[in-house]
Amino acid sequence: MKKLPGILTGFAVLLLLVQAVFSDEFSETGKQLLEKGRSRIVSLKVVASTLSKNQKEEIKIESQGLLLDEKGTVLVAFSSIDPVKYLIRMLSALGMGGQTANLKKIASNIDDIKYVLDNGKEVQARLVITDKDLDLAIIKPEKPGEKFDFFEVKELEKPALFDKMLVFFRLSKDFNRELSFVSTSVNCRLSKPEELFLVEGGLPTGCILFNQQGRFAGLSVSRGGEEEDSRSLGMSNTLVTSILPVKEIMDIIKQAGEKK
Amino acid sequence: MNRTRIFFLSLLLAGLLAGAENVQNSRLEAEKAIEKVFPAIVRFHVVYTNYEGGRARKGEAYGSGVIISAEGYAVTNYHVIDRTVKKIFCTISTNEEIEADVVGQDALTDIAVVKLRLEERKDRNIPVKFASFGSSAKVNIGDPILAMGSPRALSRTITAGIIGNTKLSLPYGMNIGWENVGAMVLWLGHDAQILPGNSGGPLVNMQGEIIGINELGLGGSLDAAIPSDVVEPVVREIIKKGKVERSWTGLTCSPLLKNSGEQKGALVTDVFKASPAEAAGVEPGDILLNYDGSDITINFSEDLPFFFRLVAGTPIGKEVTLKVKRGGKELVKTLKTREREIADPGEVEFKEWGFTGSNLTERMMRQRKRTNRDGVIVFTVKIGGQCEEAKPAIKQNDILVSVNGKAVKNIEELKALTGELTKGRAEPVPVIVAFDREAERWMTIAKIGFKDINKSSEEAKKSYLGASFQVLTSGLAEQLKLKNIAGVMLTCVYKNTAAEKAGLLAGDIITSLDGDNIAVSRPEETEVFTNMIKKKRTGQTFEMTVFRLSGEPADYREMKLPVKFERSPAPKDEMKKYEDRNFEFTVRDISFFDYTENNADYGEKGVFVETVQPGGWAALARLNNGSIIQSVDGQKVEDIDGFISIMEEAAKNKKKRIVFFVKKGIYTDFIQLECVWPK
Repeated sequence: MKKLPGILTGFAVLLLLVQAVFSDEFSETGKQLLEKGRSRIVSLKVVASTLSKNQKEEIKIESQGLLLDEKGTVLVAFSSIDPVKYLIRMLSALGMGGQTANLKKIASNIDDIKYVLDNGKEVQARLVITDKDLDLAIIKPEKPGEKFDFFEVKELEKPALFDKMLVFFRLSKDFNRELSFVSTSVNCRLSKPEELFLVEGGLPTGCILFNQQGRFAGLSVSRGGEEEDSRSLGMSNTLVTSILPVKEIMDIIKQAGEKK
Repeated sequence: MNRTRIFFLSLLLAGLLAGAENVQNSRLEAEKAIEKVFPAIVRFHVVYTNYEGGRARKGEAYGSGVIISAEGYAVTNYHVIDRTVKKIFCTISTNEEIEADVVGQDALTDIAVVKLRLEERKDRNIPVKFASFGSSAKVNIGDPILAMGSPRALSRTITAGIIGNTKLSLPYGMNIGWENVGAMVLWLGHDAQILPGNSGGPLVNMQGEIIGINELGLGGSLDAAIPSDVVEPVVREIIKKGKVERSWTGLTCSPLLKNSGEQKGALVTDVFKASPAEAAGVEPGDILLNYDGSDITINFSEDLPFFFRLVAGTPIGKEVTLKVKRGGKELVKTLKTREREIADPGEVEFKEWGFTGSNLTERMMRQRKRTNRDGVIVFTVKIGGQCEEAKPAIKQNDILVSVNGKAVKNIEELKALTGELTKGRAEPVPVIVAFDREAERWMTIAKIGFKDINKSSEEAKKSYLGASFQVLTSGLAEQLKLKNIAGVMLTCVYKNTAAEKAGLLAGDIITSLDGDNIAVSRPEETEVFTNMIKKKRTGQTFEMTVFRLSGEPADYREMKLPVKFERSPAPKDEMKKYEDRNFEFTVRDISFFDYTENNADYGEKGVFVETVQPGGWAALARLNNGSIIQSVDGQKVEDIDGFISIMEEAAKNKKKRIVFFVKKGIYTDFIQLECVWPK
C-alpha cells in the first residue's frame, strides 16, 4: 500500500517520457518533410474561366500540388483549381450555400497553369487527366526536360482513428508562397461512398497529408454538401473536407503515367 | 326650379360642351401631328462594344430615332449610337429592318446622325416619310407635346404630356462619351412618359414639328429632351462635315460669387495650361465682362450653357477680344481660339497584350503632368493576361512608352510593332517594356502574343453501366414486400449500353454485384453503387443479383444476370469542337450525355451549339445555346467534321445568307444568318 503512490508516480513519468519520445519523433518527421517539401510540393498558379450567359469571366486561383515523379507530374485536388468549385466553397464559407445551385450549371475551363517553384521560377504546365468523382487532377509540364524532386507514392494501410497527420499547404504570394503545415489527427472514418477519413479542424481542399512515418497519406478533397443541405440550419457539411487516402488515388496516377 | 339654379345649370352645360369640343380639337391636332411624324419614327437595334477586363465585349442595345430627310438621314442620341457601335439595324414604319451607317456623332450634345440604306428596302418606290424640325425657342411651359419612339424596344409608341420646363439644368452635369452634356444643353422638361428605348426619339409639338430629341428619364413623370435649337445646327453640321467643329479657349467660368459685389460678368475659375486663354494672360479670379463683343453675365448655373455655346460657336482660329476685370481695373486681352479636342480618346483592345487602352488626349497629358502626348495609356487589364503576368505587372493607368527600346507614341505604332514582333510566332514573345506609372519610369518583361489554351484534358476512364437508379429505401422495400432486401432500383436503362445489352429493365432491383451486397438504404447513398461499378475493370463480366417484377404486384423474382461493363462514354467537354469566327459561335459533336440529360434523342445527328458570342452575327440571328443544328441550306449535318466542311465552303463563297435548320427541345426552327465577311 505504501508503494502505491510511488508506482503510480513512476507510471505517470513513464507515460510522459513515452509521449515526449514520440512527440520528438513526430517533430523530426515534420522537419524533414518541410525540408523535402520545399522542392516536392509546388505552388500552382491557375487562370481559369467560367462561361455564364455566353460571357467568359477569368479568375485567378492558387493551390499546391504534390510532385510524383522526376518528369514533374503533379497531383492536385481538382476542386482547389476549378473556378466553379472555388466559388461554391467561397459562397458556402460565407453562409450563402443556398445560392450555389445555379453555379453548378456554369461551364468552366482551366485556361492556364503554371508551377511556381521555391526559387520563384515558373514552369508552364497543362492539365492532363481529371477524375471529377474523386476530385483529383494530374498536371504535367508543358515541355519535358526539366528534372524535379518528388515524393514516392505507395499504397498504404488505411489510417486508424487518432493517427497523427501532418497537413502541408503553400501560403499565398503575400507570404512568398512559403510551405507551411499543421498537425492534426484522424477523427472519423467513412466507408461510403468510398473509403475516406476526416481529420480534426477544418481544412481547405488541396492540402497534402503525411502520416507519422512521413509517408504520403492522402489529399483533402471536396465531397458532399449537395444543395438541399446547404439551406439547412446548423452545421454546414459543405465545409467539412474529406481526406482521400492513397489507395483511392493510385488508379489516376497509373492512368496519368500511361499518358504522355 | 328657380332662375338662379337654371342659370348655373346652363353655365355648367355650356362648359361641358366647350370642354368636349376642346378635347375633340386637341385630338384632331394630335392626329395631325401624329400623321406628320409617326411614320418617320425608327427603332434602332445596335451592336456596341464594351471595354472591360482587358477585353472588348460586344453587346446589343435598342433606341429610337427619327428620319429627317428623303435621303434617309435619321437623328438619334449619341448614347444609342456611339463610337463603339459596329452594326446598326433600323426598323422603319413598314416594319422592314434595314441597315444604317454612321454619318457623324457629337457626344457633347448627345446627338448622332445615321443614314439608312434605303436601297435595301423591298420596295424602293415607296416614298420615305420624314419629319421636320420646329423651333424650341417658341415652346412655352404648359404646351402639349407628344413623345414618340420604341420604349423597351417594342413597336413605335406615342405618349403625351406637357412641357414642364423650357430650361432644365442639371447642376451635377451628365457624362456621356467623356463629355459633360450639361455644359451645352438646357433641356426641355416634360411629363410625357419615356422609358429605356425611347432615347433618340422625337419630342413633337401639336403642329407636328420636332422640338426636341428625348434623352433622359429623370424619375417619376419628369423626362428631358434636347431642344431642337441645339439639335438642328449639330445635325446640319454633321451631315455637311461628318463632325462638329468647335472652338476652345481653355477658359472655365462659373457664376459670380455671392460676396463678390459684382453685378455683371462671369468668374474665371480655371485657365487651362498652354491654352489660348493662358497665352492671352487671363488668370483665375478674373471677372470676364465681354467676349468677342458680347457682354457676359452669369449669375446662375442655368446661364452657363449660353456662354459655352458662345465660345464653342466662335469660328476656329478667330482672334477674339476679351474684357476682364482684375483688382478693380478693366483689362483688354486678345486670344486666338483653337479647335476643341474630342474628349473621348477612343478605346481599343490589344489582344496580344491583354489590355484595352487609348492614345492620350491633351487633357490626360496635362492631368498626368506630361510634356507630350506620346504613349499608350492602359485602361483595363485582363485577369491572367499577358500584361498582368508581366514581371512586374503592367496595371491600369500605366502608360506604355517603349517596347524593346523602340518608342511607342500611339496605338497605331503599338499595333504595328506588335504585329512585327508576333508575326508567325506560335508562342508568346518576351519583350522589354518601358512604362510610366505616375511620375516613375518602370521596366518589365511581358510575353506578348497568343498560345493555344484550347487543349482539353481527359476524364479518367472508368466502367459504366448505362442506367440511372434510386436507392431502395427500407420503407419502399417493406411496401414492395422485399423485406431484408437492400439495393438499388433502376429508373432508366439507356440505349446501347452495358445495362441494355445485359437485359436489365427499368424497375429492376439490383442487390449485389460480383458477390458484394449493395449495402444501401438511404436516398443519399446513391454513390455507393456507382462507385462499386467504377471500381470494376472495363471489358470484364460480373454477375448481378436482380429482382424483377414477375407480373403480379409486389411479386419479385430473383435472377442472376451477367453484365459486361463498358468504358464510360466521353464527357461533353471532350467532344470535338469547332469555333466559327465569322458568325461567332461554337459547336461540338453530340455527346452520349446530351441524350441521357434529355438534350438530344438517342442517335440524333447534328452538332450541338455550345456558345453564341453576344453581339455576334449568330446572336443577332437568335441562334441559341443548346440547339442542335441539323442542316445548313438543306445539307444534312451528320457530325462536326461535316459541319466544318459546309461552313468552310460558305466562307470560301462568301455566301450572303445561310439558313440553319435547328432543333431545340421538342421544337424546330429555321435560323437565317448573315455576316459581313472579312476582306
